[in-house]
Formats: sequence, structure tokens, C-alpha cells
Amino acid sequence: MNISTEPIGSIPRPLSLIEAVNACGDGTDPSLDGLYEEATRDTIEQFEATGSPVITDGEQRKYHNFWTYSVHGLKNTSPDGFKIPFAAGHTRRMLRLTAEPFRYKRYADQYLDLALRYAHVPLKQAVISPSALSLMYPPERISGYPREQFIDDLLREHETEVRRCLQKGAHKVQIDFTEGRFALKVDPSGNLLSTFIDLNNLALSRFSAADRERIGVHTCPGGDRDSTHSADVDYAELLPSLFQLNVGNLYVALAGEKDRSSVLKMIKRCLRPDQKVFVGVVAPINPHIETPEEVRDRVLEAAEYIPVEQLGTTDDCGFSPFCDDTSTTRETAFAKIRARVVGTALAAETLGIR
Amino acid sequence: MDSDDQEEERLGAAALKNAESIRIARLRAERELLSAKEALEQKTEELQQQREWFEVTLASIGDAVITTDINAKITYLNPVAESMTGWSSTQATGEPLERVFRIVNEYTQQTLENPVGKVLQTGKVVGLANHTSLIDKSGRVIPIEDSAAPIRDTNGKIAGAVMVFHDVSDRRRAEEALRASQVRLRATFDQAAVGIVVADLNSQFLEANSRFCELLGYSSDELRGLTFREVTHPDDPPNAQTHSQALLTGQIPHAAFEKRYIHKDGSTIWGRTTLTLLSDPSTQVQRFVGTIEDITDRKRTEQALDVASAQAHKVQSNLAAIVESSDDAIISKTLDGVISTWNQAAERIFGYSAEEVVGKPITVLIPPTHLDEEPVILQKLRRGERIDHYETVRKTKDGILINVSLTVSPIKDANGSIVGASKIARDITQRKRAEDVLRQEIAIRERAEAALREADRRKDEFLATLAHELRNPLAPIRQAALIFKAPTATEAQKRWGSDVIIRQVQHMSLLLEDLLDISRITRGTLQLRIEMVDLAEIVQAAVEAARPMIDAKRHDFRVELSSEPVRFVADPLRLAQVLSNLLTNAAKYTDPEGELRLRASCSGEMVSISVVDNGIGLPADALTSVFEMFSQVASSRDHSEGGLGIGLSLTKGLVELHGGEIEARSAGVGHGSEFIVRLPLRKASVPRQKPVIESNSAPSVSRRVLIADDNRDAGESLAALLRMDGHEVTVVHNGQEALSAFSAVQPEVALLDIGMPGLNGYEVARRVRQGSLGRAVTLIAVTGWGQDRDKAQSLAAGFNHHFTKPVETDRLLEMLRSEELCN
Repeated sequence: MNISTEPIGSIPRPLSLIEAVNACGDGTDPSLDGLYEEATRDTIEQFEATGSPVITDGEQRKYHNFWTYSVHGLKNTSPDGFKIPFAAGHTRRMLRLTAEPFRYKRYADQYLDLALRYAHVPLKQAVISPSALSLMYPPERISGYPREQFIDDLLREHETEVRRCLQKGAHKVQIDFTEGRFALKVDPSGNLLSTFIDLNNLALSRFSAADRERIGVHTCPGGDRDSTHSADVDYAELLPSLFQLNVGNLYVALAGEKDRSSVLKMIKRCLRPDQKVFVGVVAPINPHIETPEEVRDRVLEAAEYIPVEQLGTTDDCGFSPFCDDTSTTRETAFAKIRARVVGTALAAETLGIR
Repeated sequence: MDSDDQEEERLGAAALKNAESIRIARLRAERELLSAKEALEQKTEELQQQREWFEVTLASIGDAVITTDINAKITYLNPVAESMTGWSSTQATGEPLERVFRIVNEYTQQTLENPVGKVLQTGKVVGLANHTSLIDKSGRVIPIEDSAAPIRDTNGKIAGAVMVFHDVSDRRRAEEALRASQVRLRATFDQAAVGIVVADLNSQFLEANSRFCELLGYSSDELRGLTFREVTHPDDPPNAQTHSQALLTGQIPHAAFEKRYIHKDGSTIWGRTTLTLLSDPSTQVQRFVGTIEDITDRKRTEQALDVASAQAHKVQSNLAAIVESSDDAIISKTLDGVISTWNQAAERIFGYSAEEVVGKPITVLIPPTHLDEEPVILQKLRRGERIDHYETVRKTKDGILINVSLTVSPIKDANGSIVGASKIARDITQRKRAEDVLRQEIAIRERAEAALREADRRKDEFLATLAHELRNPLAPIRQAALIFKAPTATEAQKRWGSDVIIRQVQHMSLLLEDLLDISRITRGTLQLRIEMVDLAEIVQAAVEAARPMIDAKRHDFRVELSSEPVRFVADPLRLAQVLSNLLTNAAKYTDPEGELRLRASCSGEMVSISVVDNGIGLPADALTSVFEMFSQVASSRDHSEGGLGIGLSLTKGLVELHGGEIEARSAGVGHGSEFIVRLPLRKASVPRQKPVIESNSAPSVSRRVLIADDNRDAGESLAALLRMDGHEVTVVHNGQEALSAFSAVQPEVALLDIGMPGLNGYEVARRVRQGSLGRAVTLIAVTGWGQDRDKAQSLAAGFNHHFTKPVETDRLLEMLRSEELCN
């Protein structure tokens, strides 16, 4: 037995790629394929060099971001969807569905095709949650495309994407659910969060128990440019609902929390026997590069609350959820990742389980 | 409200509106889920039932079943597959097929590709190569046959493969056994010691083994052109055809018979033929299969045996007749001693019929005193020993004990095991009696011969003594005569000489008187002058006669008589002779100054007169023989003191003539003697009684006897005996002399030896009978030949009697004394 450790997903893109994308104006332009491939290859190489037992492709090719990659370029969308404000003061805007039908433009398994050519260790693939994309349907009704139909289409597309990734051999398929904490910000009553939970569970219900063991849900305060959009929402309001998701793995940001022990207590209360919780032991938005010992201590702290067999470690969030985020260098990201990997191993050794 | 707040409000409104849709979708999903769940449960149940049925079916079939997924990884093993591979379904599930299902070439052991790969590739049914063996988990090798087929899903897409295989070990063994059996059958057919043929229904040979070819002298090719009929003796076909028909009609499963075959060279072969009809179930073709065993030698032997059997039967009948006609009891018994056969002689000897005694123990014939013989006999029999001429005693039905001679032999069966005993019992009772009589006669003869030898010895001794005693007085007589003759003899010398002559002549007279007396007594011619006598006077006369001897030895002699006179009838001189003889002996055989006593007493009708001395005494074994004439004791006594040794014999004879008896007593040598005379106190004269002198009876007549024997000693000795008995005997030594003597002697009795030179005894007898003197004479053949025919020949020659040598002198003497000699 060992303490599992996995990344969340995104790695800052090489500056050269960012510049090329900016220059192209469309990150999905085929002319950028070579740069994307090189960036993916390099990311995988450096990822494997950290000693990570599970890696990602660094979401090098996701454009524009973790949220909209699947629908970017849809003709029946407009860029004036909902805005997500961040604490740093900037906002990110979602797409808005303008007409039927809702279909993914692309599925994340295509990123796996490229990554599998270079990876020597298990690959993990992050996908966006259906609850996040549900916000594409505007408040007003789209004529001839009832909201119910949209939801059905959304669930089907999500299912398709996840299945494709699973069938391609993804070690895990991680559903990014950063909107969970945000939902409480929007609707402190929790009803919105409940609908998100319901919608995601609807999607998860389409998978077998075996599949769900390979599916995880990531939640965090939403990191972008070293800032978050809902860090001020108390985990206590989110975690109970979060652990109601019928999924085998939950990736929970913790390194950046002020009161980690409280969160750990909550996790302990909410964790189901069939679930594994990967707690964040490095904070991507904190420029401090954690030492393996710091990571070890955080793991040991978590082990005080969470049974070791249900405990894993991860990063609080992706290092660059948005493709143009240059707040963290690739070096810093891989250093933090290395610290996570080594620190987790030290903790395992200390606990005598390695 | 700022735009961010509006934005947020719109986001919240949209999200909430979505919530309703989500709720609706969730409800629908829940309904669908419920339906799907129900359908799933139903389907699951159906699938479970189908699975169970499938598993039961797979478990029930005799073949092994392995299923794999599309990646050739095992998904299922049925129990047969588990058993054959050594893997449990649980263990094997998920394992690559080639790890669980390892196959090699049965002969080369080279690894073979499993068919599933090809099935998954081609989607077609694939069979295993021939001679495939499965190697199970433990390394056991199992020959198998199998095939594999794709498993398709509902869309027809290959979802996996199913392989079905089975263990063909038994079939391999059966095939191998069949091959081996065929090889053996072929070898048996070819190498059989009997002829084997296969023929069609027309009896034409299709196949023949080498032995059959050898029997008839044909090659197998030649035989194929022939039929049974063509090689069968002309007289035998009807029999063979009958059997063939019976086989064809199913009346009999097989036929066995003996028939003659004709060899290629024309000779006849006897064959024991066994015929069977075989049908090939696949082709329905029928064939005759025959085995022919050459029994020519056996047939010849049987014929010889028939002849021998008839002869043996005849011999057996003869043997049975011999057994039944035998005079001896022939009895057979078991080793337990139970009688099993009983011939007629046994019936006659023992008195039991066969029905009475067969089955009974042999001990019914054995008296209680001899019962211990039987276990010993049986023990010997069991050891295979024979008991020859064992003489013992057996008991008849009437309880009579008979002497038998048994010969018991063990009876063995064909294997040499002893199964009983044959007993031959010969009744030897008569023979035993005859033997007893013969033994008695032999004993008597031996005693007689001993007595004769003793008498002969005594005679010789007596004659020597007589000669000596007669020569003793002759010497002085001669000397006295010479004195008389001497011209210078004086008167005194002449008177001395005269006294000597008178004394010695008197002495010789006494000797001669004693000899004559004893002769007369022996011949029964001495007569007593019986008169009434006074015992005292007799004693006085005897004392006076013995006084010189008594006084010469200065013995202390006393007479002790009763004061009462004892008077009885007797011969006074002879009685005085008796007493003086005893006194003289007592004085003679007692050392000087000894003690002599004469006592007389009466008891009842007897008077006892005893003479007692303290002289040299007598040994115990001489107390009776001292009275015998010529006895050694008497002789030794008389020799030392002079005398012939006949005094006591004469004394005894005189006493017995008086009807009395005399007894000698002595405490032993050196302890003196007592001689006791007992006489009856008769008051009147008694007839003279013949004295009993052992060895000889007094003859009633004196015969003229002619003895003819070329053995001079035999003739002379016999003559001497007869002469002693008072007969007048003439001895000649050949047949011619015998004839001459007949005329000269005119014997009353002629004892003729048969085996004489010249004329033998038979011829002499015949000639004598033919003569005028032959009628009255008694002719007695004396010869060593004693068979019945010899006796018959003697009688035929004219002899009256036939004596075998050595002659029974008692019988001869008795015969000579007999008045009716010729009878």
C-alpha cells in the first residue's frame, strides 16, 4: 500500500506557445498543432521527471481553459455568457448558448491521443462538469430548445466525453467542479449547489460502479492568476454536499485553507467508505515552493483525520486552468509537484506503509 | 445594483431555472432508473437463470468448456475443464488462455498454438490438430480433441471464444488395445498350433493359417481354390454338411466334430474340427471360421487303447476272478482302517459276509490283545511301507481266534498317492498247530537224542569202566596163575594165589551178577522171590554184607529200628542187596571214622528205610541222576572207589520192582547224603511191576533184526541200540548182502537203507516180497528222503514202514516190541 498522489491537471504553457496562440488569435488553429505537441511532450517529460506516478498532459492543448475547451468554437454560442469574478479583480466570461442543439465541439479524449504517444506512466484526464456547462443556457428560454432538452443533451455529451476518455485508457477522469463553491456564493441557500450536485449525480449515474472508481471530482475556490473566485465560501457549506457526489475520488483543495484541521474534520465526517479523498498539499497560487518536509507534514496532518487507505495527495488546483495564465512558471509548477511527490513518499515512510 | 450584481443575479436565476429542469431530468432519470433497475433485475434474474441453466448444462456435459473474452483471457471453466486443466474457474478467470490451456503434439511434445487465437482472428470455428495433448497444471499429459468457436454478441460482433474439448485417453487406449488385439489375433492366427481357416458360405477357403496348410500339405494359395468338401474324406461329408446347415440356421452356436481330411499326398488326417459362423455387423457378411486340430495320433492311440482296454478288461476280470478264487482273504481298506472290499475267502475265513463288514473298521477282526497292531500298520502304510508275512492273531465272527499271516501293501492312485491298503490274510492256524506239534516233536526228538547221546556216552564210559574193572581182577588172577605155574612157587604162595584168584573171581562174579541183574531188570526178566520178611532180619543181612567196608573205615555205624517187628512181603535177598548196596556206598563215600546210620520207620502203608552218612555228599543236580545207569556222578564216585557205577541204578530197579521208590537227599557236596527207600507194607504177594528206567522201555519181545546200510557206522550204531534192547541184530552193508542174509538169518524185521550201492532198498524189498520169506517179514525203509512221494514209493516197493533218518529210536523200539509189528 502506498499514499496515492495525483496532479489536478493544468501546467503553465510554455511562453512560446502562449505567444503563438496570442498571435494566432485562436488556440484551436491547426497551425499550432506542432507547438501544442511539443509543449505536451515537454510537459509529459518534465512531469515524469518529477517522479509522479500519475501525470497529465498539463492541459497544454485545452483552449481556452478548463471550462470552455469542449464548446469553444460552437457556432450556436456567443461569448457573452455569465461572468466569473475573481478576488484579484478580474473576471472570466463563459459562453452562452444561443440556439439548439447543445453539442460538444470537442471531447477531451483527443488530448489523450496525443499524450499517450509520450507518456510512460498512467495518464489522468480532466473534463469539465456538466453543472459548469449548464450555465451556458441563458436565463431566457431558447426558442424551440427547452431547457430540459438542453440538460439531456448536456448529460449525454458529458457522458460521451467521460466514456471516451475511460475507453482510451485514462487512469482517472477528473470532473472539474470549481463552480460548486461558487454556487454557494451565488446562492447561499444552497439550492443552486444542490442542483449542481443533482446534475452531476445524474451524469455519474450513467456510469457503472467500476467506472466511477476511475472518475473523480475536483473542487477548489477556483484559481486563476494566483487568485480565486470563491475562497471566501466556507468549506463547511460545500463539503457535505460535495461528498454526496456518487464518485470514487474527490480532489479537495486544502493547502490554501486557513484552517486545514477544520476542513479535515469535515472531510472525515463526510467521507464515505467507498470514496477516496485526495487533499491538496501544495498551493499553486502561492509562489512559495513547498519543501517535501512541509508536504510530509501536511500529509501526516491529514492522516490524523483520514484513514490512510482513503487518503491521497494532490495539488490544490491546476497550475494554469486558463491557457494564458503566466502567473506561475512551469519550473515552479514542476518543483511544487516534485515536492508533493517526495513529501507524500516521506509521509508514507513515516507512517510505515511504504 | 451594479452590473456584477446583475450579472450574478442573472446567473443565479438561470441556475435556478436550470434547477427545475435538472429536477425534472432527475425525476425522469430516476423513473428511467427505476424502470431500468426493474428491467435490469428482471433481466438479471433471467440472465441468472440462463447462467444457472448454462452452468448446469456446461457442468453436465461430458466435455470441457473454456470461454475467453476478446483478448483470449479466460472468463469461464466448466467443472470438466477444471478437472482436466487442474485450474479452478476462479483461478483461471482473467488468465491468458495459453497459461491454462497448454497443448503439445502428442508425439513430438512440441507446443501447439491454441485455436482460440485463430477463432478470434477469423471468427470461424477451428478444430485442434490431430494428436494433441493437454498438459494440466500438475504436468499431467492428457490426449484431447477439441474445437473452438467465436462467441458473438447480439450485434454479431466477436465478444470472445468458446473452446470445447474432451479427454480421448480412453479412446486412445481402446484404439491401442484394438491395434494390439488385432496384432495378437493375427499372430495367433498365423502361429496357432491348430489349423485355422476362414471360408465363405459355400465352404470355399478364403484364408488359412500356416498350420492348416502344413496339416494338409497345401500352400495357402492352393487352399483358396479348394472347399472343405474337396479336402474331406469321401465318407465324412454328410456329417460336416449337417453341422454347416445347423450353424447357418442358428440352431447351434458352434459345431464340434471329428472328421478325416485328405492330405495332398493322399494320406488321411484325423482332425477335431470346430466350426463357428461369424457375421460382420457392419457388412452383414457371414463367414465360417474353423479350427482343425490334428488328432491322427490320438485316434491311433484310441484304437490301440480300445484294444488294450479290452485286454485290460479281460485281465481285470481275470484278476477279479483270481481275487475271488483265492484261498487267502484279500481285503482292501482305507487309510483310516475302514474295510472297502472283501473277497469270498475272507468270508470263509472270518465268517463275515461282504455286506456285513464292508464299511466297518478293520478292528472288528482284531482281538483286544492285538489292537495296538493296527495303528502301527496304518502308520507304515502311510509311509508307503509294505508289511510282509506278519504273523498275528485275528478273530472270526464267532469270536474264534485264528492265526494269520498278513501281507499288507499300500494302494496308490494314478498320482502315486497312497489311498488305501490291500491286505492278504492267510489262515495259518493249522500250520501253526502243525508247527507247534513239530516243535514239540523236535523237542522230544532233541531230548531223545540228547538222552541217547548221554546214554551213549554213559555206555561208553560204562564199557570203559567195565573193561577197567574186569581188567583189574584179571591182573592179580593172572599173576596168581603165573605163581601157580611157577615151578618155584611155594604152597603158601600157591594158597595165597588161590585166595587171590577166588577173591578176584568172586569180585568179578559180583560185577557180572550186577550186570546181569541190571540187564534182567532192564529187560524185565528179573523175578523177585516174594515172601513175608522181617525188616530186622533184612537189615541184619545187609549189615553183615556191608560190615567189612564199614569196619575197614572204622565208621560209627548205628541201626535205628522200631522195637515193633515190621513184616511185609518182599524178596529178602534182593531187599538185603538194596540195603547192603546203600550201606556199602555210604561207607565207601564217607571219610574214615565217619558216621553212618540206618533208620527204618513205618508210616501208613509204607516203610521208610534211610541210610544216612556224613560223607562227600551230592550236588543238587545229581540227586536224581545218581540213580541213572552210566551217570557221571555215579561213575565218578565209583571210579574213585572202584565199581561200575551201576549199583544205585540196580538198587533203584530192585526197589521199583518191589513197588517202592528211592530218593537221594544231600545238603550239598561235603555235607553227607541220605538215601531213603520207601516200600509198600504189603502183606500179600503183588504182581511184578515193570521197573521204569529212563531212556528205555523193557521190550516185550526179542526180534531177529536185519539191518542193511552201506553206512557202516549208521548200521552198527543202530544195531547196538537194538541189541541193547534185547534184539538179535544182523548188519550188512549192501543190497546183495541183504538178500543173502534174508535166507541165512530169516529176520523178522529188516531195516533197509534205500540208497545202497548195487541193489537199493526198494529193489531188495521188491525181491524179498517176491520170495517165500517175504510175506511175514516186516520191512522198514530207513532213508533220508521223507516226502510223501518217497513214502508212497516205499509202500509201493513193499515196505511196511518208512522211517526218515535219523531214526526215531523210541518209535522203532516200540514198534519192535509191539506184538502187531507188521501193522
